[in-house]
Amino acid sequence: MELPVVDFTAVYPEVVVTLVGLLVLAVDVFLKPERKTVLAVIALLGLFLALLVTLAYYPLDEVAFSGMVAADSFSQFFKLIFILSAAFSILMSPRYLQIFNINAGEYYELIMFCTLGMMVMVAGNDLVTIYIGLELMAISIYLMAGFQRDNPRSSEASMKYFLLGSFASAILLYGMSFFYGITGKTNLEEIARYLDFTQNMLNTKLITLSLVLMTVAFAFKIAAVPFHMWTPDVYEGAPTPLTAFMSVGPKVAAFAVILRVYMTTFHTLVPDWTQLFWILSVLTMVVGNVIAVAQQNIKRMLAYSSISHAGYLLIGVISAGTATEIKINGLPATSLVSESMMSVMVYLFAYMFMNLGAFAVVIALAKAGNPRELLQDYAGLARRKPFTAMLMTILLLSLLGFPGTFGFIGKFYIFKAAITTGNVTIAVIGVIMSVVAAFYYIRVIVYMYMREPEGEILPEADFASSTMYAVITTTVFTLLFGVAPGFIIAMARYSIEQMLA
Amino acid sequence: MINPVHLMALGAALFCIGMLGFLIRRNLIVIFMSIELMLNAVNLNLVAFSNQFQSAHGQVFAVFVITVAAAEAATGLAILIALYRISRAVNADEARILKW
Amino acid sequence: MLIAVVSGFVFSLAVPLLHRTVRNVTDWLVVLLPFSLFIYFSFLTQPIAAGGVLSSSHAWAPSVGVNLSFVLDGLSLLFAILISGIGALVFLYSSGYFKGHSGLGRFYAYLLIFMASMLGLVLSDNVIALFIFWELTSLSSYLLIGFDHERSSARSAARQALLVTSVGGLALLAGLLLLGEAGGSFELSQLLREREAIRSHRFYVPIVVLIMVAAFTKSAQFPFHFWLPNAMEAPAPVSTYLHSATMVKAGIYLLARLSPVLGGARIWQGTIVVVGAITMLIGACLAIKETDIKRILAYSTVSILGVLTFLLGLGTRAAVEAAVAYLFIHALYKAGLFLVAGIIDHETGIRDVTRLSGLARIMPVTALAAAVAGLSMAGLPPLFGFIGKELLYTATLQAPLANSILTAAVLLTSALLVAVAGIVSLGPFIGRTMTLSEKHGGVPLTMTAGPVVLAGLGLLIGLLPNLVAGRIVSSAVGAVLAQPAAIKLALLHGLTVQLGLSGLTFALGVTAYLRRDALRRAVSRFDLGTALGPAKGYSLTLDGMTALARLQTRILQSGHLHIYLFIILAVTVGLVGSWLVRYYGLMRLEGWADIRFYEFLTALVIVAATIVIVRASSRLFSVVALGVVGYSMGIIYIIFGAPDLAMTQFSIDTLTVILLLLVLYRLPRYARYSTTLERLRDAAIALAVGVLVTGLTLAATAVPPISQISSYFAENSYLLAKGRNVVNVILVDFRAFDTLGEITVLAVAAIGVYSLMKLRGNGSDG
Repeated sequence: MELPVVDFTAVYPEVVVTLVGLLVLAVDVFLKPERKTVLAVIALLGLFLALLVTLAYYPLDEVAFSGMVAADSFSQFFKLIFILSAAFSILMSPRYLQIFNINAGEYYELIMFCTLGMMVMVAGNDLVTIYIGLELMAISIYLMAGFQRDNPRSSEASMKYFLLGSFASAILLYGMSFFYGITGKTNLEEIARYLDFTQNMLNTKLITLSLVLMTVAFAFKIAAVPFHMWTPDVYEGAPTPLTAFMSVGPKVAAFAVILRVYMTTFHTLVPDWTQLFWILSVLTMVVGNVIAVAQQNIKRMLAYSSISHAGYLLIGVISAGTATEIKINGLPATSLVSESMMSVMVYLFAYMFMNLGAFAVVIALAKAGNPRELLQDYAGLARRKPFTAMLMTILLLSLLGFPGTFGFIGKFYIFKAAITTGNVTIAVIGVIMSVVAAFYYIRVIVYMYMREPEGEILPEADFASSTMYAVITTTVFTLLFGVAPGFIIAMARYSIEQMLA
Repeated sequence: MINPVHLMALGAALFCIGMLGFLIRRNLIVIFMSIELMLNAVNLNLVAFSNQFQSAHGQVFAVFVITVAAAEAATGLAILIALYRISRAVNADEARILKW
Repeated sequence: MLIAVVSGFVFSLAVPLLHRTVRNVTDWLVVLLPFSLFIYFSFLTQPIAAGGVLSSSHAWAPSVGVNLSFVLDGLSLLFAILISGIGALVFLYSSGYFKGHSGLGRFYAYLLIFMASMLGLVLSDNVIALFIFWELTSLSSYLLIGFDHERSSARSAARQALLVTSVGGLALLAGLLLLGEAGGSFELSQLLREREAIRSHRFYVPIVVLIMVAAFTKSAQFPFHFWLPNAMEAPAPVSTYLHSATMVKAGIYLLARLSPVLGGARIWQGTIVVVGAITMLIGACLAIKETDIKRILAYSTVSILGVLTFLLGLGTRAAVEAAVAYLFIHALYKAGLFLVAGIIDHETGIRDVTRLSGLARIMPVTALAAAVAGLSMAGLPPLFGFIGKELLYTATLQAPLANSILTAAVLLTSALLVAVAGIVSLGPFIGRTMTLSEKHGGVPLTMTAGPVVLAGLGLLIGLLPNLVAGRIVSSAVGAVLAQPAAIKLALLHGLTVQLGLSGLTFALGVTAYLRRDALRRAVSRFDLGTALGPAKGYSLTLDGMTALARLQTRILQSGHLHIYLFIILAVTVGLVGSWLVRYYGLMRLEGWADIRFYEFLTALVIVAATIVIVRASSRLFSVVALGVVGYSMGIIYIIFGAPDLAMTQFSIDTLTVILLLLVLYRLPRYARYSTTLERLRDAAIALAVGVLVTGLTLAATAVPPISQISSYFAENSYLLAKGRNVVNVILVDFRAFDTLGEITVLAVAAIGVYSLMKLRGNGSDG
């Protein structure tokens, strides 16, 4: 039997993250509980190394490990997002873990392994690889959500997420097993080849069944309505740095897989899945935004807002799908397809910065024994902490999609993609829902700048510098890419052209 | 000899019973076991197809599923115990501090 | 031109710092910037009037057609001059108004951002850049309105203004994106060339509606007019600059700018005329009703904005001429009056016109400026306002249809505005001298300069109208009509109908002014705009949305795990069902007879055990049954030639059973938590779901996929090479990467379980 040549360049970032995770694990054993912050430093350095390695080998274009790993610039783009979001989450963590008495070094290990899982997921070119990555990511998060052991909310969040999450995994697997049953393959490219080849004689029932099942599972991961129910409960219950991480990482990873799998492998099934996503997208935008209005807890409000962002992102996915069916002068409209996919990727990048930043502000405000997550806690913040309030304002405006911020760039490309591909109805619904969103984002700003705190005014704690670094960095990037998004756009576009070629 | 279709039917039945358990039972342990049932249904499918194609990919997939399911089971039980320690809840409906 | 726009933004960053270090110089520095811009734009009037158009373009995101391209034509120039000129006066005024205020540096910064965005807005040739500047003006106006946020009314006003205008902003974005799609470009100059294509495009109606919503919200047109008076919470310089001279005219600018592209159709012209006419009447009536001097001015501004909209809607040459001239005139006198109102408020602390009187003796210069501005507003010769009124009547008399009704409407509005002019510019200054509580040392020169200059200009242009007619007005009219125009303005045309109408207006206006208290009572009785008005609608919408949100949350987010699950399942089944219904075929399970007895038995055992797991009331039973299922699965794997898998299954299953048993000893027994009724209900729901899922699954799986597969394999025979029991070989050699993942999963589980167990919760038994 001929053994395949193993090319490790394809997985250097994964290798780095794994080794650093193990290093953290090893060092953890020798550390006293009060010195666990060292682990954060090691993890950060490791993530920085992983970032450098990813960039050093950019752009790659190869399929390694017998076709299971697609080390292309598409996966590199997403690896950057994961590495950055892990790094920001770790920056926010030390102080929070300290004041809420979560002195577990395992936290950092699990973040590293979770990042590894997401990286495996986007690099996965095989159903098995994707499943393994997804489980690695999910199990790490189930565990981390329950890390605040003296708080019943945390345990409950963990339990709910675990039960619903493993239910979703089971559904995903059931769907995947049918795909294997139809095609006899688990490799994405081979499945795609088979579907192309047998386009007109497919076992349609089985295919649609498995497509729907897989879509349900992915909808669960991106928290699309009505598969979103776990999101607010889990986001509220979990430790906030983790909430920040899980509001970005798994969602981005799931969107990456959706883009890769649905656009390359299931491209013959476009009419089916665009319809599915259409319904999900509208429901997600409407329910997410409307419920967010009723929230008095900022963490829950951000949870619902992150649900609604999935709705906007789905608009981009739908546009990409419909674009594959558009013919210009008899030729496929490749540029429309890549523009639509690009819009999703750019939005995800923007979403990473602004969402993590907003959560970082929530963490910066937290005090021992009082998480300070209520809207009322933000009253008059501008007077007590003018700089923080200004940063939060910028981040919220970005979430709202205000011009001059990265969030606007994302939203602009999404809506533009929708309109150019003829999905005008859903674009209009998106715009209307953005108006609703304006209401709850602006309300926070109003509280910060124009509301006096009721009752006793507590002095703000010293804002831990590492959390503030996270806030400042994310805000700076939000503004920087809001004005000059060219770099990210070029990267996203290049990777898509490479993938579709 | 039973053919793969029968196996798929069995798998479907198993999957549905698992889902039923998920729905009607309130005890977290039972809900938990229902997940195991659903994963078993998946494995049945995979093995049936693997046999049909005479290819080992399905079996490999099943091995992964079984192992990961074990890890998941361990995780779930740990979470369950942690929850029980703090809130004495083993019933799915008792865990609802987080809402709205 | 890029420098003209960007300088404001750059300067705004430096100002707070400057203010902290060199306070006195800053006041003059901030005036210098708009003033030099004003000089710059004034010098440009000559080339523009000669028919030239200045443009410059800077790539920003060229791939999607978003550029920072600027074009200066007549219309932009008119606005640019107003923005920079009035800006200079307002900055000067602010230094006196906020003397000693600690936040002055911040205020300057906001104001500079606003000025720069406003310039960007009127100079942009790219519609997306235009939109961006549009939103920036909303944001900076929010900051400015809320600047003095000690009062709770200030913040709700600020929020209302921002919400209403951001609704408009998003409508604008959608409209402009559609416009770009219909016209194939985001450059206005390109769009102008594509106007035929755009007018016949299927997006035409949505574009028009969205753009109108944007323009009407920004320019406070009915039914969005309510935010402007409420925004009067803002400090006087802000009201002057934003709410009369510049920002509220951005909507008018948008309509004027796009009318060559979109105009001509009945939906465009008709809607604008009707909305404008309603707004001007409502604005004038509400202005009479108010007693707060700033709110009176705000409503009169609403009314004038209505007039401008109405004129643009008419779209004839005379109407556009009148609109451009009126816009200029209004900026001059209304800015002056707002500044005067600010002075009165600043010096006396009173804004109620019924309590103000005799101020002429205390502040004579201000009184004079107010009187001149008021006369311009009333439209008396020899002021610029008179010329405007003449043009206005010319336009309505020449309107294509219903000119008598339109003229009557304009007459009524104008007469009411004459009365308003009397109330604000005459009333506070005549009569018994007020006694001011504090001794004050006269109005500072910085504050009087603005009203005096503006009133003086009104008089000067009235006397010599052709100072601006040829240079500014003609080129602006030309830009709106998209064809060259040469306009001569004159103070007196002889005895014309227009002159007669002006006289009638004035007579009616004076009568109204003299009987103002009776009129106010009469108007108040109708209670316009409070009971069922749009402001009520706004608050109802907000309340309604919140209530809806609460309701939805109660239903969807109960916190009950099984409700979440039920919804997820039901939707899944629904989705699967709706897709499969089309393909539904009868179940065909072939070859039942071939099943061997032990195979059947194994399957039966599995199903039975499964049911036991789900139904059992004893924990031990369930766990044992789970084990039985697992082992039976192992047997099936052996039957299907997968011994390696079977071994894995056996070992893992044993592990799981042991784990479960260990855990069970720590947990209480099963107990019935729900009532029988609840259980029945759940069972019924679950059964329905189960039956449907089973049926669908079986239906879907009924046709074996083999037949189609054979041809595929014939083509790809090389793929068939794999043997039977190579699972472990594959695992190690081919699946190295997945195996790495798998091992990590196990490691993660181990780490996590360890750490969850290690730490004991407070007061737990371990």
